[in-house]
Order: sequence, then structure tokens, then C-alpha cells
Amino acid sequence: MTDLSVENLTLCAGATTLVESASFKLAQGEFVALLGPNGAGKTSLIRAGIGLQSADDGRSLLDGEPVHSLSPAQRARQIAYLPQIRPLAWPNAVRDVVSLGRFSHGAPLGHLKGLDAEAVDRALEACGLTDLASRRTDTLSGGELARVHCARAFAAEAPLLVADEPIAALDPRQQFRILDLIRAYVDQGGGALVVLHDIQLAARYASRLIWMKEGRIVADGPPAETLTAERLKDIYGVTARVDGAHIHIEGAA
Amino acid sequence: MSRLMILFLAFFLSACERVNQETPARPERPARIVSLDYCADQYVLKLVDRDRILALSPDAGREFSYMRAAAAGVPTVRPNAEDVLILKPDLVVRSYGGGPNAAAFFEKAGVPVVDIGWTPDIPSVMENTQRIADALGESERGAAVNEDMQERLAHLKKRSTGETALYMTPAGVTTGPGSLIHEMIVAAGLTNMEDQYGWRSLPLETLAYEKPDVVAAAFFGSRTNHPDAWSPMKHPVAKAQLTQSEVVSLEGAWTSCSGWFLMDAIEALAGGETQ
Amino acid sequence: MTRESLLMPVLIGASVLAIIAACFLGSTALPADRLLAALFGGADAGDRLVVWQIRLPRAISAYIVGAALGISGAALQGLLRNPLAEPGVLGVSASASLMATFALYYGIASITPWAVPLAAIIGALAATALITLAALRTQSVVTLILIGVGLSSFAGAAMSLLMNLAPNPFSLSDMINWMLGSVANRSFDEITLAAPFILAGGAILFATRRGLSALTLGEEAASGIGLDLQRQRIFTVVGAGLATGGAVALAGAIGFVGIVAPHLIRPFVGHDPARSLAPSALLSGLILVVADIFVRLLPTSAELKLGVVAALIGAPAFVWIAMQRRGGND
Repeated sequence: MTDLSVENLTLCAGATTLVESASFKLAQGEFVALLGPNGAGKTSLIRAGIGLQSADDGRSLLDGEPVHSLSPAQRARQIAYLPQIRPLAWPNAVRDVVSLGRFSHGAPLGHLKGLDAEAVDRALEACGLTDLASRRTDTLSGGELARVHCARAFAAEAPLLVADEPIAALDPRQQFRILDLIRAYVDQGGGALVVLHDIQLAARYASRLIWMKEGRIVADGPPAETLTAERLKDIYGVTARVDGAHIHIEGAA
Repeated sequence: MSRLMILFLAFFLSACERVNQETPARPERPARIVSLDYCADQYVLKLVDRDRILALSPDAGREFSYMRAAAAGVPTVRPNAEDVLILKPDLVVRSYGGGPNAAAFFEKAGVPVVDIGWTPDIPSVMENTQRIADALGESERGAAVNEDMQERLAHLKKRSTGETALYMTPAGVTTGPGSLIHEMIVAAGLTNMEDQYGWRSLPLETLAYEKPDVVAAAFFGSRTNHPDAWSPMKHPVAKAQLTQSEVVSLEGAWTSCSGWFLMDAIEALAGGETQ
Repeated sequence: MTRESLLMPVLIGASVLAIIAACFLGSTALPADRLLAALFGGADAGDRLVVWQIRLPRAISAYIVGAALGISGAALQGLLRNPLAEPGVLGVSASASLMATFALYYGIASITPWAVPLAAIIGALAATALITLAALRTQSVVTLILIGVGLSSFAGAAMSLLMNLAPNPFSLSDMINWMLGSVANRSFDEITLAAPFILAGGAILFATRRGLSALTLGEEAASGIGLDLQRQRIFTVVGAGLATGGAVALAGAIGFVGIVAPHLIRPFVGHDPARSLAPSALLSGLILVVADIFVRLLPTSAELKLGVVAALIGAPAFVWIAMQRRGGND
């Protein structure tokens, strides 16, 4: 079982501390949502946690090995990463973009065979993109593009998935579709860490919530324990009523 | 708007002012002679005593200047109008020095100019020498130079077996009929392998089929380091000519200007033998 | 895709035909039967010499220079994620020319003939590294191209300065050849000096082409799917530097060639940078051989420079592509 263990991670940019002594674990079978206001340090925490950026203090272990001791390809086989900003430099076909998920397996892109081709087909089907497989990405809508990027991440068939705001700017139906895909992935044995802004959705889908404020992790636990009105006021500065899994946000505090 | 028109007209009219067109008179025996380029240097050094030479061009002592030995110690001046006029010469000799408008400019400034002129064949070289010598006030010396040339030509033992020659330079340039080089080749009794008129690039493909009997190789000594990255001379077919044919080395100084010194080149081409 | 599988065979066939066609042109009239005899056996020594030593090296020079610039252009476009990147536009060719003329005119080439291609490569590597470093700091392609323009201008000016100060007299025609490009009078001697570097550079670019596809997702995600960014940048820079340096040592600075071919190839290979490398190389070589044929056919008094024809074709293409871009990655 692959797991990611982040211990006391600290990240500074000049005089500003982006992340301070953050620790968390991500294991297979978990759906973890990372919550916090803009600028709380969520993206920085993720990037340092999976080794895209060097931390100033603390360490991050993937299966017990420091993340930085792994080559990018080794790391990519264990963790599939979906960044917040997802440019596409060329108007490739959907299938070609999804095939990039197999990059770390050494696949010759454009001529995928065997296991690689099957993984791509599975990812396309799971995300409902089989009909769109030959379409150029510059002809797709926002929702379709989001699914393409998800499919790319799923095609890697890595044990862990880290997604930074995968449903931002999508309509509610698309949002549910993507989160359903991630939940299916977790149900089949994957481990997912997802940054979300929609607290309601996070509470509904995630088995665990990690709350961040001003670079620190202030809470880490199941929604039932960590989701309270005080927490919402503290982290987001809003007054709310929490009723089981339902949240009614009333206004700014 | 009308004020602008008046201003325009004023400028226009002032520019149309006619210039004094008289050519200054040449002194009979100029004593303050300046030459503007190395071709002019040769005539000045050959025909005139040093005490009458005010200044030569900066190239007078270079290796492509035939009279470079005689140029030692003679002051030089850069061939621009300001530097020359300050010396107050009474005659300026030039072929290309000073630029295309130099003659008109110096004459406007009151200094007479002698142009070396274009000489397409050997008789015109001799006429030219005499004309220049007359202008320099040394008619007798000019006549002596021409007499020497005539004698050397008369005693020349030409190659008589119809051998072909090709003029080659490191820059890969050769010439056919219409140039002085061609006339020199003919005077030596050879046939020019290049039969197309004028200066052109070495005919590499022709050289693949036929080789000249004699290669008139000019400037190879002085420019062995010359890069010329695209010169046809670098091509193996052209380089082969230097080893497979008889090579007559011509000094750059003999062929880079027209003058009596081309006799050295003709004699070298003819095999160096004299009767 | 059947279109894609036909692409390489068609390009290879067209390239061979173009090279043979180029051998038809020359100052002596050589009818087809004698030409083919000289190429494939038989024919007298003169014909063989003309075809094998004079015409064929010229055609082959044009081809491998085009191929080198084409593959470098396609690779740089993949690395910088921009269809306007190209050794000529980015000032790489001009910098290579500058170093080559320095080696040539200051006597370094007299130590060893390898000095010229090596100097050209050093110039190309320096320029490519500079451009890549700049690309790290700015996402704007306009900035990169402006840097390239600056580099080209600087290299051109420095070349004039160096030539004026050189201990050996220079010829203006040589300088024009370095700045505008020409394959006149090329023999197998020069090809032997340049070809190893062109082949090495091309091989490096071809071997590391997968990473260029990964960059389609942007640097962040590309790193996430397992691309070693530093390694990819270094190899692409080195490969493009070697190939461009070798090409410039052989034929001077020819610009815009590396823009047209990748642009034409992209629709056939699904806009995948990795798959565009080899076809771009072949098509660019083909284009330059055809351009060289034009250069010799056009009835101008002095032979046109190859770079002039390349710019006549490539610069309008450059402007057209620039206008087509929807400002996506600017």
C-alpha cells in the first residue's frame, strides 16, 4: 500500500512563510479534502509535499523514501498530479492528451500498445470521453476539458492522486461528475487528496478534511469532527449553521 | 501654409546656385604632389624625385605595391579631402582614392587632379604612362619607361605551342577577354582557357573536364591566410589544378594595378626566358 | 492514421528526387542519360567528377543544413511551446555565424579546420542557453522573439566590427555569405567537417523527443507526469546548438527555414512535438534543396543568396502564424 507522509514541512518565499510545520498523511482508500481560504498555502503544501518544490524544513516520504530521492518518473508512477493551472500548448487530440498520463511508463506516445493502450481506453471510458477521443482539445468546452485532464490523471493508474481545484469554474453537474469519478477511483483502491473550495461538496465526498489557515494545518479529521460553525468562522470568516452534513452559510462574519 | 511655401522656395533657389565650373590650371612642373591610392603611388614614385612628393597613400609600402621599396620614408596621408587639402598640394594623382567625386571636389577646391584612367590593353597602358608623365612634368622619364617596355616585349620568347592558361586567385576569381589580365596572357603567347567575357567565378565544372596547361596564380603568396569561406578555390577540383598543372606564381603587385610592371607578369608567364 | 504513416515514405522519396533534380543544374549542360550514368555507374571521369564532386555535394549540403535547421526548429518549438521559435528567429544562427567568422578571420582556423564548426557550435549553444534561461523567467513569446532579434542584431554588428578589425583583409562577399547563407562551392571536405555535429545534434534531439510531448501540459504538469525538466532543457539546448552550429559552419546563417516545415507537418502528426521532429527535418531539407534550385535558376546577374530565398518563403509564413495565434500562451 502506497502512502505519502508529510512531516513538519516548512516553505518560505523570501520573508514570507507560505507553509509552516505542516504534517499529514495520505494513504490508499482515503478521499481527503484540503480546505482553506485563498492564500492559505494549499497549493504550496501540495507542491512541496509531492516534491515539485524543495521545502525549507521538514520532509516528505513516499512509501518511506524521501520524495526528493526519487526520479520524476518514479514519483509519477506513484502519484498522479493534477495542477491548478492546466495549459495546453498545442491543440492535440483528446486521446493524445490522455496518453500523456502513461508518460512515466516509458510509452512511445502516438503508438501506444498493450497495457498502456488499455489504461488509456479505461480512462477515456471512465470519464465519458470515448466519443470525443479524436476531437482536438481547442474545440472542447470547459467541462469537457476538465474531464480530459482528469482522464489524463487516471490513465496513469497510480495508487495516489493529488488534485488542485479540479472542479473550479465548472457547473454543478460537471462538478458532481468529476467528484464521482474521483470517488470511484478511491473505491477501487486509490488514495486522493483534493483541494476544494466548496465545503458542502467536500463534506459530502471526503472521508477526511484537512483545514489550513495562514500556512498552518489547524485541523485534520473526519467531517463529523472537524466541520463546525466555529471552524467555518475561524477559517473562512463566515457565519454559518452546520446541520449534520448540510451547511448553511449566512454571510461574512 | 504660404509662409512654408516661401521658405521652401528660398531653400530651393539657394540650392540651384550655379557653381564656378572652371578647372584649375596645372603647373608645368608640380613640386607638391600628393597621390591618393597605391595605384597612383606607383607612377608618382617611378617618375618623380622624392623632393617633389608631398605625400603618398597609406598603402604605398604594402606588399601589393610594386614600388614599396622606394616608398620607404616618404610621408603618407589618408585620402580624405580635409587631410589632403591642409597640405596645400599643387597636384593630386589618383585612380580610385578619395571616392568617385574626388576629382570634381579637388578641382572645385582649386587643386588640379590627374586621373590614372582605364587601360584595357597594353598599348593603352603605354599611352597612359606618357600622359601621366607629361602631367607630372617628367615627359622624358615617361618615354624611357615606355621604351623599356617595348624592348622587353620585343625580346620576349613567347610560348608558341598554343598552350592554355587560366588566371586563378585565392578568392576564386578569374577573367576572360576584356581585361588587362587577358591581354597579358595573350602577350605571353598563351590562350586564355576562360573564353567568356569579363570577371567571373572559377569555372569548376569546366575544370572537371579540361585542365589548363599553365595556371597563372596571383595573390597566393600574400593571401595564403585569406579565409574566403565560399571561394571556389577551396574546392578540391580547383585545388587540384595547383598540383596537376604548371603553376606560374604572379606577385600581387604585378597585376593589381595597370602599369609598366605588368611586364614582369608577362615575362613570368612566358616562361621567364628571353632572347 | 494512414496520412501519418505515408508521411515519412513520401518525404524520403521527394527528398531523393529533389537531390537528383538539383544535380541537373550546373554550368555545363549534362543531359539526363549522362547524369544518371554518372550517378549509378558508367560514364567517363569528367562527368563523374562534375556530378559527384561539384553538384552532389552542393545538393547534399543544402539538404543537411535544411534538415538540421528543421529539426532544431521543431525541437525548440516543442521546448518553448511556441510555433514561432526557430534558430534564425531566436538569434542562434547569427551567434553561430559570429563565432565562426571570429575563428576564421583571427587565424584560429589555421590551427585546425575543426575550429570553424566548433566555434559555430559554441556560438549556437551560448545563444540557445540564453534563450532558454530567458524562457524560464518570462512566459511571453513576444519577449523571447525580441531577445532573439536583439541577439541577431548584436551578432551582425559584432561580425562587422570583427571583420573590420581583422588582421587579414576580408571580402564583403564573404560577410554577406555568412549573414545570408549560401551553399555555393561546397565540397565533401566541408560536409565532413560539419556533418558529425549535425548528426550528433539531431540524434540527441530525436532521442529526447518524448519529453517535448510532455511539455504540452505545461511545465508543472509535465514535471508531474514524470519529466525531468532540467534534463530535457539541457538536452534540447545541446542538441539544437550542435545541429545549428554545424549547419551554420557549412552554409552560414539561414533563417526562417525551421518555421515553415514544422508548421506544415503539425496537422499530419496531431500537433505532437515529438512526432514532428523527423518529418520536419526531412521537409526542411527538401525545402532548402528546392530553394537552392531556385537560386540557380533565377536569371539574376549575381547568384541570389540561399538565405534570401528562405526568408522570402519563411518570413511571410512567420507573420501569418503570428497573426493566427489566438493569444493563448502569450
